[in-house]
Amino acid sequence: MDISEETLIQGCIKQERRFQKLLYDRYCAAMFTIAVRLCVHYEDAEDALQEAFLEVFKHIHEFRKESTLGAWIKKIVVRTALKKNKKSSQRQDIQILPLTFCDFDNLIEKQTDMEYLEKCILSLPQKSRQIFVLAEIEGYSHEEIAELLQISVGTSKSQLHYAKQLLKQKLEPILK
Amino acid sequence: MKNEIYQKLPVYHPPDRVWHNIHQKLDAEEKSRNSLSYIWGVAASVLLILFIAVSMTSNIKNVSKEVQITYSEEHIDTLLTHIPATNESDEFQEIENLCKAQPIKCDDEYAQSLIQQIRDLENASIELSQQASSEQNIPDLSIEKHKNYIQKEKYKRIKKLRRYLDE
Repeated sequence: MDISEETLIQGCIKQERRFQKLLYDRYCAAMFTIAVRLCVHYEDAEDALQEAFLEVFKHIHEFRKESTLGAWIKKIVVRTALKKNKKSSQRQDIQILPLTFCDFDNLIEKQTDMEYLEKCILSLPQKSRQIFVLAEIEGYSHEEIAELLQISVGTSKSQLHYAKQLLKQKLEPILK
Repeated sequence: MKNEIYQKLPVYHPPDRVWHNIHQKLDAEEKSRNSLSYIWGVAASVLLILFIAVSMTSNIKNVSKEVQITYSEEHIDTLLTHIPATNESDEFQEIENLCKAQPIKCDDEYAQSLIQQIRDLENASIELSQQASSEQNIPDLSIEKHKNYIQKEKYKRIKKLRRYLDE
Protein backbone atom coordinates (compact mmCIF):
# COMPACT_ATOMS: atom_id res chain seq x y z
CA MET A 1 0.00 0.00 0.00
CA ASP A 2 1.54 3.30 -1.10
CA ILE A 3 0.51 6.05 1.29
CA SER A 4 1.25 9.65 0.29
CA GLU A 5 3.60 11.80 2.32
CA GLU A 6 0.76 14.21 3.12
CA THR A 7 -1.42 11.40 4.52
CA LEU A 8 1.50 10.20 6.63
CA ILE A 9 2.11 13.69 8.01
CA GLN A 10 -1.56 14.25 8.84
CA GLY A 11 -1.78 10.85 10.54
CA CYS A 12 1.32 11.59 12.59
CA ILE A 13 -0.01 15.03 13.60
CA LYS A 14 -3.08 13.23 14.97
CA GLN A 15 -0.65 10.98 16.89
CA GLU A 16 -2.03 7.87 15.22
CA ARG A 17 0.35 5.02 15.95
CA ARG A 18 -0.33 3.26 12.60
CA PHE A 19 0.91 6.26 10.62
CA GLN A 20 3.84 6.81 12.97
CA LYS A 21 4.92 3.21 12.35
CA LEU A 22 4.52 3.64 8.57
CA LEU A 23 6.65 6.78 8.65
CA TYR A 24 9.26 5.01 10.75
CA ASP A 25 9.32 2.00 8.41
CA ARG A 26 9.71 4.27 5.40
CA TYR A 27 12.72 6.19 6.70
CA CYS A 28 14.33 4.08 9.44
CA ALA A 29 16.91 2.26 7.31
CA ALA A 30 18.19 5.40 5.55
CA MET A 31 18.32 7.33 8.82
CA PHE A 32 19.94 4.51 10.75
CA THR A 33 22.62 4.24 8.07
CA ILE A 34 23.46 7.94 8.52
CA ALA A 35 23.47 7.54 12.32
CA VAL A 36 25.80 4.51 12.18
CA ARG A 37 28.25 6.42 9.97
CA LEU A 38 28.23 9.45 12.28
CA CYS A 39 28.34 7.71 15.67
CA VAL A 40 31.29 6.09 17.39
CA HIS A 41 29.24 3.30 18.94
CA TYR A 42 26.57 1.21 17.29
CA GLU A 43 24.44 1.60 20.46
CA ASP A 44 24.70 5.37 20.12
CA ALA A 45 23.35 5.11 16.59
CA GLU A 46 20.35 3.17 17.93
CA ASP A 47 19.78 5.75 20.66
CA ALA A 48 20.17 8.62 18.20
CA LEU A 49 17.61 7.05 15.85
CA GLN A 50 15.18 6.54 18.71
CA GLU A 51 15.57 10.10 20.03
CA ALA A 52 15.38 11.57 16.54
CA PHE A 53 12.11 9.82 15.69
CA LEU A 54 10.58 10.84 19.04
CA GLU A 55 11.58 14.40 18.14
CA VAL A 56 10.07 13.99 14.67
CA PHE A 57 6.73 12.79 16.05
CA LYS A 58 6.70 15.57 18.64
CA HIS A 59 7.40 18.37 16.16
CA ILE A 60 5.89 17.08 12.93
CA HIS A 61 3.21 19.79 13.07
CA GLU A 62 6.05 22.31 12.69
CA PHE A 63 7.16 20.78 9.36
CA ARG A 64 6.72 23.66 6.86
CA LYS A 65 7.31 21.66 3.65
CA GLU A 66 10.23 23.90 2.69
CA SER A 67 12.13 20.67 1.99
CA THR A 68 11.08 17.04 1.58
CA LEU A 69 9.99 15.15 4.68
CA GLY A 70 13.03 12.90 4.29
CA ALA A 71 15.40 15.86 4.27
CA TRP A 72 13.70 17.32 7.35
CA ILE A 73 13.99 14.02 9.23
CA LYS A 74 17.61 13.66 8.09
CA LYS A 75 18.45 17.06 9.59
CA ILE A 76 17.05 15.94 12.95
CA VAL A 77 18.87 12.60 12.78
CA VAL A 78 22.21 14.28 11.92
CA ARG A 79 21.88 16.78 14.78
CA THR A 80 20.85 14.07 17.26
CA ALA A 81 23.66 11.74 16.19
CA LEU A 82 26.28 14.48 16.48
CA LYS A 83 24.94 15.49 19.90
CA LYS A 84 25.02 11.86 20.99
CA ASN A 85 28.60 11.56 19.78
CA LYS A 86 29.66 14.61 21.75
CA LYS A 87 28.18 13.17 24.93
CA SER A 88 29.68 9.78 24.21
CA SER A 89 33.20 11.12 23.73
CA GLN A 90 32.87 12.97 27.06
CA ARG A 91 32.30 9.68 28.89
CA GLN A 92 35.88 8.87 29.71
CA ASP A 93 35.07 5.96 31.98
CA ILE A 94 33.39 3.93 29.28
CA GLN A 95 35.62 1.92 27.03
CA ILE A 96 35.24 2.96 23.45
CA LEU A 97 34.92 0.18 20.94
CA PRO A 98 35.91 1.85 17.68
CA LEU A 99 34.40 0.74 14.45
CA THR A 100 37.81 0.24 12.95
CA PHE A 101 38.79 -2.52 10.63
CA CYS A 102 42.54 -2.81 10.49
CA ASP A 103 42.87 -6.13 8.75
CA PHE A 104 42.28 -4.78 5.27
CA ASP A 105 44.15 -7.52 3.44
CA ASN A 106 41.82 -10.20 4.71
CA LEU A 107 38.78 -8.08 4.11
CA ILE A 108 39.50 -7.75 0.38
CA GLU A 109 39.21 -11.49 0.10
CA LYS A 110 35.94 -11.76 2.00
CA GLN A 111 33.93 -8.62 1.27
CA THR A 112 32.64 -7.02 -1.88
CA ASP A 113 34.14 -3.71 -2.95
CA MET A 114 31.29 -1.60 -1.59
CA GLU A 115 31.37 -3.31 1.77
CA TYR A 116 35.11 -2.78 1.86
CA LEU A 117 34.66 0.91 1.01
CA GLU A 118 32.09 1.20 3.80
CA LYS A 119 34.48 -0.33 6.29
CA CYS A 120 37.23 2.02 5.16
CA ILE A 121 34.91 4.99 5.72
CA LEU A 122 33.98 3.70 9.17
CA SER A 123 37.63 3.24 10.02
CA LEU A 124 38.42 6.93 9.47
CA PRO A 125 39.11 9.02 12.59
CA GLN A 126 35.86 10.28 14.14
CA LYS A 127 36.02 13.96 13.16
CA SER A 128 37.21 13.45 9.61
CA ARG A 129 34.72 10.60 9.18
CA GLN A 130 31.84 12.86 10.22
CA ILE A 131 32.96 15.56 7.79
CA PHE A 132 33.49 13.03 4.99
CA VAL A 133 30.05 11.46 5.53
CA LEU A 134 28.28 14.82 5.69
CA ALA A 135 30.11 16.38 2.73
CA GLU A 136 30.60 13.49 0.34
CA ILE A 137 27.74 11.12 1.09
CA GLU A 138 25.01 13.42 2.40
CA GLY A 139 25.88 16.43 0.23
CA TYR A 140 26.19 19.07 2.96
CA SER A 141 28.12 22.25 2.16
CA HIS A 142 31.21 23.21 4.19
CA GLU A 143 29.25 26.13 5.67
CA GLU A 144 26.52 23.77 6.89
CA ILE A 145 29.09 21.34 8.31
CA ALA A 146 30.91 24.18 10.05
CA GLU A 147 27.66 25.26 11.69
CA LEU A 148 26.69 21.71 12.69
CA LEU A 149 30.07 20.79 14.15
CA GLN A 150 30.88 24.28 15.41
CA ILE A 151 34.13 24.45 13.52
CA SER A 152 35.46 26.84 10.89
CA VAL A 153 34.88 26.32 7.17
CA GLY A 154 38.66 26.00 6.74
CA THR A 155 38.82 23.17 9.30
CA SER A 156 35.98 21.41 7.55
CA LYS A 157 37.80 21.63 4.21
CA SER A 158 41.15 20.48 5.58
CA GLN A 159 39.54 17.59 7.48
CA LEU A 160 37.76 16.48 4.33
CA HIS A 161 41.05 16.59 2.44
CA TYR A 162 42.69 14.56 5.21
CA ALA A 163 39.85 12.01 5.15
CA LYS A 164 40.16 11.61 1.39
CA GLN A 165 43.92 11.07 1.67
CA LEU A 166 43.42 8.40 4.32
CA LEU A 167 40.71 6.73 2.32
CA LYS A 168 42.89 6.70 -0.76
CA GLN A 169 45.63 4.96 1.20
CA LYS A 170 43.21 2.38 2.56
CA LEU A 171 41.71 1.76 -0.85
CA GLU A 172 45.04 1.37 -2.59
CA PRO A 173 45.01 -2.45 -2.33
CA ILE A 174 41.80 -2.75 -4.33
CA LEU A 175 42.58 0.13 -6.68
CA LYS A 176 45.76 -1.58 -7.87
CA MET B 1 34.95 9.65 -6.45
CA LYS B 2 31.42 10.56 -7.44
CA ASN B 3 28.39 10.71 -5.21
CA GLU B 4 26.64 7.92 -7.12
CA ILE B 5 29.18 5.45 -5.76
CA TYR B 6 28.01 6.21 -2.26
CA GLN B 7 24.41 5.38 -3.16
CA LYS B 8 25.59 1.77 -3.56
CA LEU B 9 27.06 1.59 -0.08
CA PRO B 10 25.43 -0.93 2.25
CA VAL B 11 22.31 0.14 4.15
CA TYR B 12 21.94 -0.64 7.86
CA HIS B 13 18.63 -1.77 9.28
CA PRO B 14 17.86 -0.89 12.89
CA PRO B 15 16.87 -3.71 15.24
CA ASP B 16 13.19 -4.09 16.14
CA ARG B 17 13.83 -2.94 19.70
CA VAL B 18 14.30 0.65 18.46
CA TRP B 19 10.67 0.90 17.30
CA HIS B 20 9.56 -1.00 20.39
CA ASN B 21 11.25 1.65 22.59
CA ILE B 22 9.79 4.51 20.55
CA HIS B 23 6.33 2.95 20.81
CA GLN B 24 6.66 2.57 24.59
CA LYS B 25 7.82 6.16 25.06
CA LEU B 26 4.99 7.50 22.90
CA ASP B 27 2.48 5.51 24.96
CA ALA B 28 3.93 6.82 28.22
CA GLU B 29 3.81 10.42 26.95
CA GLU B 30 0.20 10.01 25.85
CA LYS B 31 -0.80 8.62 29.25
CA SER B 32 0.83 11.45 31.18
CA ARG B 33 -0.76 14.01 28.82
CA ASN B 34 -4.23 12.52 29.38
CA SER B 35 -3.89 12.36 33.15
CA LEU B 36 -2.61 15.95 33.20
CA SER B 37 -5.63 17.17 31.26
CA TYR B 38 -7.87 15.18 33.61
CA ILE B 39 -6.31 16.85 36.66
CA TRP B 40 -6.63 20.30 35.05
CA GLY B 41 -10.25 19.58 34.16
CA VAL B 42 -11.16 18.56 37.69
CA ALA B 43 -9.28 21.52 39.18
CA ALA B 44 -11.03 23.94 36.79
CA SER B 45 -14.45 22.49 37.66
CA VAL B 46 -13.80 22.77 41.40
CA LEU B 47 -12.59 26.37 41.04
CA LEU B 48 -15.59 27.26 38.91
CA ILE B 49 -18.01 25.82 41.45
CA LEU B 50 -16.25 27.61 44.30
CA PHE B 51 -16.26 30.91 42.41
CA ILE B 52 -19.96 30.60 41.62
CA ALA B 53 -20.83 29.66 45.20
CA VAL B 54 -18.85 32.57 46.69
CA SER B 55 -20.08 35.22 44.26
CA MET B 56 -23.63 33.99 44.55
CA THR B 57 -23.61 34.15 48.35
CA SER B 58 -22.28 37.72 48.36
CA ASN B 59 -24.81 38.80 45.70
CA ILE B 60 -27.76 37.31 47.55
CA LYS B 61 -26.71 39.09 50.74
CA ASN B 62 -26.48 42.45 48.94
CA VAL B 63 -29.86 42.04 47.28
CA SER B 64 -31.55 41.13 50.58
CA LYS B 65 -30.26 44.30 52.24
CA GLU B 66 -31.31 46.57 49.37
CA VAL B 67 -34.79 45.14 49.09
CA GLN B 68 -35.65 46.35 52.58
CA ILE B 69 -35.17 50.01 51.69
CA THR B 70 -35.81 50.30 48.00
CA TYR B 71 -37.24 48.52 44.99
CA SER B 72 -35.34 47.00 42.17
CA GLU B 73 -35.63 48.03 38.55
CA GLU B 74 -33.64 45.32 36.92
CA HIS B 75 -33.38 45.30 33.20
CA ILE B 76 -33.01 41.83 31.73
CA ASP B 77 -30.34 41.73 29.09
CA THR B 78 -31.82 40.15 25.94
CA LEU B 79 -28.44 38.64 25.14
CA LEU B 80 -29.02 36.28 28.02
CA THR B 81 -31.89 34.67 26.23
CA HIS B 82 -29.73 33.67 23.25
CA ILE B 83 -28.90 30.28 24.61
CA PRO B 84 -31.69 27.97 23.59
CA ALA B 85 -33.47 26.10 26.32
CA THR B 86 -32.63 22.44 25.97
CA ASN B 87 -33.81 19.28 27.46
CA GLU B 88 -31.07 18.04 29.80
CA SER B 89 -32.13 14.44 29.56
CA ASP B 90 -31.73 14.71 25.76
CA GLU B 91 -28.12 15.86 26.20
CA PHE B 92 -27.25 12.94 28.43
CA GLN B 93 -29.13 10.59 26.12
CA GLU B 94 -27.00 11.84 23.25
CA ILE B 95 -23.80 11.27 25.24
CA GLU B 96 -25.00 7.77 26.13
CA ASN B 97 -25.69 7.03 22.47
CA LEU B 98 -22.25 8.29 21.45
CA CYS B 99 -20.69 6.16 24.16
CA LYS B 100 -22.57 3.10 22.94
CA ALA B 101 -21.21 3.70 19.45
CA GLN B 102 -17.62 4.26 20.70
CA PRO B 103 -17.40 2.27 23.97
CA ILE B 104 -13.58 2.02 24.00
CA LYS B 105 -12.99 5.71 23.32
CA CYS B 106 -15.69 6.63 25.81
CA ASP B 107 -13.94 4.66 28.53
CA ASP B 108 -10.59 6.38 28.17
CA GLU B 109 -9.38 9.01 30.62
CA TYR B 110 -9.99 11.99 28.39
CA ALA B 111 -13.61 11.14 27.60
CA GLN B 112 -14.29 10.22 31.23
CA SER B 113 -12.80 13.52 32.36
CA LEU B 114 -15.13 15.45 30.02
CA ILE B 115 -18.18 13.45 31.17
CA GLN B 116 -17.27 14.16 34.80
CA GLN B 117 -16.91 17.88 34.06
CA ILE B 118 -20.32 17.94 32.34
CA ARG B 119 -21.86 16.24 35.38
CA ASP B 120 -20.15 18.67 37.77
CA LEU B 121 -21.45 21.63 35.80
CA GLU B 122 -24.92 20.11 35.70
CA ASN B 123 -24.87 19.69 39.48
CA ALA B 124 -23.67 23.27 39.90
CA SER B 125 -26.54 24.49 37.74
CA ILE B 126 -29.11 22.52 39.77
CA GLU B 127 -27.60 23.78 43.02
CA LEU B 128 -27.77 27.34 41.77
CA SER B 129 -31.43 27.01 40.76
CA GLN B 130 -32.31 25.51 44.15
CA GLN B 131 -30.55 28.29 46.05
CA ALA B 132 -32.18 30.95 43.91
CA SER B 133 -35.65 29.55 44.48
CA SER B 134 -35.10 29.36 48.24
CA GLU B 135 -34.31 33.12 48.41
CA GLN B 136 -37.98 34.25 48.49
CA ASN B 137 -38.25 34.66 44.73
CA ILE B 138 -36.03 37.74 44.59
CA PRO B 139 -35.21 38.36 40.94
CA ASP B 140 -31.46 38.40 40.52
CA LEU B 141 -29.71 39.09 37.24
CA SER B 142 -26.37 37.74 38.45
CA ILE B 143 -27.88 34.28 39.07
CA GLU B 144 -29.16 34.23 35.48
CA LYS B 145 -25.71 35.24 34.28
CA HIS B 146 -24.07 32.47 36.26
CA LYS B 147 -26.55 29.93 35.01
CA ASN B 148 -25.91 30.98 31.44
CA TYR B 149 -22.18 30.82 32.01
CA ILE B 150 -22.46 27.28 33.35
CA GLN B 151 -24.65 26.30 30.39
CA LYS B 152 -22.09 27.72 27.97
CA GLU B 153 -19.27 25.81 29.65
CA LYS B 154 -21.35 22.65 29.58
CA TYR B 155 -22.08 23.01 25.85
CA LYS B 156 -18.41 23.53 25.17
CA ARG B 157 -17.55 20.26 26.85
CA ILE B 158 -20.42 18.37 25.19
CA LYS B 159 -19.21 19.71 21.84
CA LYS B 160 -15.63 18.65 22.66
CA LEU B 161 -16.78 15.16 23.68
CA ARG B 162 -18.90 14.80 20.56
CA ARG B 163 -15.99 15.86 18.37
CA TYR B 164 -13.64 13.48 20.18
CA LEU B 165 -16.00 10.50 19.89
CA ASP B 166 -16.78 11.28 16.24
CA GLU B 167 -13.07 11.29 15.26
